[in-house]
Amino acid sequence: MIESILGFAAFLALAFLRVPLSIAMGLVGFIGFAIQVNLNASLAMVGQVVYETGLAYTLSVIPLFILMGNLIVQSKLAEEIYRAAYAFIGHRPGGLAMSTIVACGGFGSICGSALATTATFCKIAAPSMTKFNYQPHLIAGTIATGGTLGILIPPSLILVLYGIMTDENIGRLFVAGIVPGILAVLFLCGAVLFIVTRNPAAGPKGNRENWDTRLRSLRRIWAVIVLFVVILGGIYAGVFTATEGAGIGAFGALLFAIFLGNLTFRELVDVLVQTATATAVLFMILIGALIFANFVNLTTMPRDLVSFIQAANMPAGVVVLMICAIYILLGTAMEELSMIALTVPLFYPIVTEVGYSGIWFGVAVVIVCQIGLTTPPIGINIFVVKSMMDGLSIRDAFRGTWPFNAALVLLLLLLIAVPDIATFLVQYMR
Amino acid sequence: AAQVTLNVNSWAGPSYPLASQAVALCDDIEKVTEGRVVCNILPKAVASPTQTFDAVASGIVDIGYIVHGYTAGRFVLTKAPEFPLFGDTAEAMSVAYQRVYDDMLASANEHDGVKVLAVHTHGPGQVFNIRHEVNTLADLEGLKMRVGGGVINDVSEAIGVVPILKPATEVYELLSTGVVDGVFFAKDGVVPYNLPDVVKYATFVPGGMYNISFGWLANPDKWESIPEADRALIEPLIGEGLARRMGKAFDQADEVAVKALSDAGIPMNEANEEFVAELAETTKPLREAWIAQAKEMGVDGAAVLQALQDEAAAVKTD
Amino acid sequence: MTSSITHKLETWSTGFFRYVTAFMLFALMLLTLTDVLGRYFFNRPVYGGLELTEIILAGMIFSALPLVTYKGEHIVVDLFEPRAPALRRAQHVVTNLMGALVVAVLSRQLWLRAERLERAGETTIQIKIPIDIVAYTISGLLALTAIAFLIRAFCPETSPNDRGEITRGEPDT
Ligand code: NA
Ligand code: NA
Repeated sequence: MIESILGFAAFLALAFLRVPLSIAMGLVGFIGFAIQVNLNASLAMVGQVVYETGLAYTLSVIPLFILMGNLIVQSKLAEEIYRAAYAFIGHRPGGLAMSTIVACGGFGSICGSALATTATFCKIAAPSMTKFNYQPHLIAGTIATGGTLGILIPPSLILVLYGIMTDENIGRLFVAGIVPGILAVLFLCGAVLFIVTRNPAAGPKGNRENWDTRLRSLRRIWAVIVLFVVILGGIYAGVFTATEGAGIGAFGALLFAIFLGNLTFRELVDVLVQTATATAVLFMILIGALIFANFVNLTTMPRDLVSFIQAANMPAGVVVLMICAIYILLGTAMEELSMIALTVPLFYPIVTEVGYSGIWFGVAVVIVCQIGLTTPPIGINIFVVKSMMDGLSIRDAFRGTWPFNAALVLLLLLLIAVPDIATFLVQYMR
Repeated sequence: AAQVTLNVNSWAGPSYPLASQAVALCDDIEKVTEGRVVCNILPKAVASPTQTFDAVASGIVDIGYIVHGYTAGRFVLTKAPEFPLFGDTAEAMSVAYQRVYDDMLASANEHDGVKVLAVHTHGPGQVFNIRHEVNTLADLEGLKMRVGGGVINDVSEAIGVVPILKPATEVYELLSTGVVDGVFFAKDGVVPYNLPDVVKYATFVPGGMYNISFGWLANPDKWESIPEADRALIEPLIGEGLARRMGKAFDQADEVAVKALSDAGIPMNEANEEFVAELAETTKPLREAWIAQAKEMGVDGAAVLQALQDEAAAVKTD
Repeated sequence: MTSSITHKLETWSTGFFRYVTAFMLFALMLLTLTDVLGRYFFNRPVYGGLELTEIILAGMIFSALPLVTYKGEHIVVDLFEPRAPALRRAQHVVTNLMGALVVAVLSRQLWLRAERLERAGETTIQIKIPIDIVAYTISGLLALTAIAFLIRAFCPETSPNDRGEITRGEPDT
């Protein structure tokens, strides 16, 4: 146990010294493994992880889902979604923030990544909220947390990775994310209302649009619905696999970008490069996390954690509650991909053994990841928002997210109490 | 207290015979050495199926099992038990394979860099599909069948099947979406991969459509570090002992599978004599090509294939 | 070296890797599409589709890596930064050196692995592509990545996004 704790401490120290996270995890994992086994084995191990991860067929779905999201951005569909949401609820107190949440949810239905969703809405929603004098902490909190809907509402990269790690069917995981995703939109809107009720100056009203404008704003949403139906419908009805859905979705998005967004060849190359580099960054993180996981794997920590949870012979709900608590704690100080790469293999067997379904756990893991993405000290989504909004203080950014995270915790508790929220739709799949 | 701890890499799902027997083998090793040699089965596999050989050779882990056909070009002689119509029980085939391996194949040193604890097969490979009943070899023509690699890939091409190479973990999804029309699987895969939910027809070929060669490996340095007296105690658990253990486990899994299929009302038919004769005839060039390859390695391939048949018939099973 | 030569070299090499990685990704998408269409309409999926996917995926990732590194797009924790310029400089050099070292070790290990694969004669299962070529290529691209870390460590004026500015190119979780 003590070796793992030292390993985590070393990793955190390196991370705070601004060593890239992938390098920090890889280095600590490498040294730890060498101490536990020997240097030659550790050298062979890191080589193997790089080779194996780089050539992993199942991971090919990742760049394709990212590509789809990036092409959608090019086709200006995100703006359309935001405009429509604004037309309907923008005039209410906190209306622009709620429009952003709803639009993030809509955009999340065609984009699988939290960070891409967040980055997109930094560009689209932040300027208009600033114009209506929204306070920075509400803007930051709304976009950082709203962006995490990208991984709860299908398609979702986190659910894909979870499916790969646990052999759960990715299509079923996607379908399981639908209802919790819609609930999350409502819960996050509730958080906005909570904030503006306590402090009306945080989120003033926007303009009221007439019904003519409202209906017109819906016109171009069809493209979003078409893509969502093709991808999810294709997977749900069993026309193609989730992996193939990613390729088909990306191609569909390419057509939309060409015809709706007037995509030029230069822009296409830019989008491809942007996607490839984002994928490379992600794979480096995965490689680092897997090296680190191989080290932790050899320590007594996995067994200690498992026996700690199983020791008291607690009821299933309590076990799951404890696991979620551990996740939220870990999520504060860890990058989320690394967190699930490390912990899902540990907790998945426990959760399924006490009687919760593996599909359900996938959705729960996504929600704790959503929370982790915006909690200090290491909240990747916060870093994205801060990097894209000039003059935003990191304090304001973290201050803005806590009501939203409270809402997500409530959603998680509801999900633990009523697991059917995630699983009931799945049973209608063939 | 333990003097030697062996790190074990186990990538198969927990209910699959490979994983469950890894646990059983470890328990027995601990028992016979009175706790002086223990295993640490890693909670998360460090090496994937294709990387396990290298992982054991380089000492990343101490013990692991591999599927020889997952890495093309590396192993030639281990294809011997994979050709169609080898036998009907995993136990007889595995024990026969281990004996023939010791006598005729081990000297070619294809497993350079590791200690081979045992080689074995699973039960006879069968045909499961979602399209129509398969009675003749022609019924298979044009069907897209999922394969995992090894000789069955070549067999598929020889009989006009479109082989689709995909990970076993995707089998359920591939079948339920109709991406593939069927799978070549041993019966043991039926329950772990939920086949009764998705397949419509099962065809059992006497002697099997194909088989798979498995190997259990240990890191040689680590193995030597076990005191000689303890190694002597472990000896009966490896080699033929381990091959028999694995064969039995696969045979048991096959029985469970047949029950699950019949509970689900999946029609199971047995391939007739013409099917078998035609399969033997069509795949003859594959055997001949392999015999030529084996010759280059100084091994009499025809004699190996004959010896496998003879030994399998001679093995006593219970 | 005059600065115009280094500038040209930079434009040319980043441009090269941009097009290679973009091409690979596009090919990956088309491969999936062809596979599905071929299967549905002609009962002919792409032969060796799985192994081609794996090789193209690896090619795309590892040819993007020198680019990612050179532009400083690896994800870092943006919380603390030393105030004193000298400290900041030291931190910058040390962290990039650490990156160079780690990636150089990875490059060496991939080279050794490639040699082993070559000796074993391992190929892909269906199209029988010698797999050691892929491992050698990854090794080479990782070596270039290590060089990119070194350039960042010692010539910050030539590399973009430097001086502890906000890092972009986040991983897409
Ligand atoms: Na999504
Ligand atoms: Na966090």
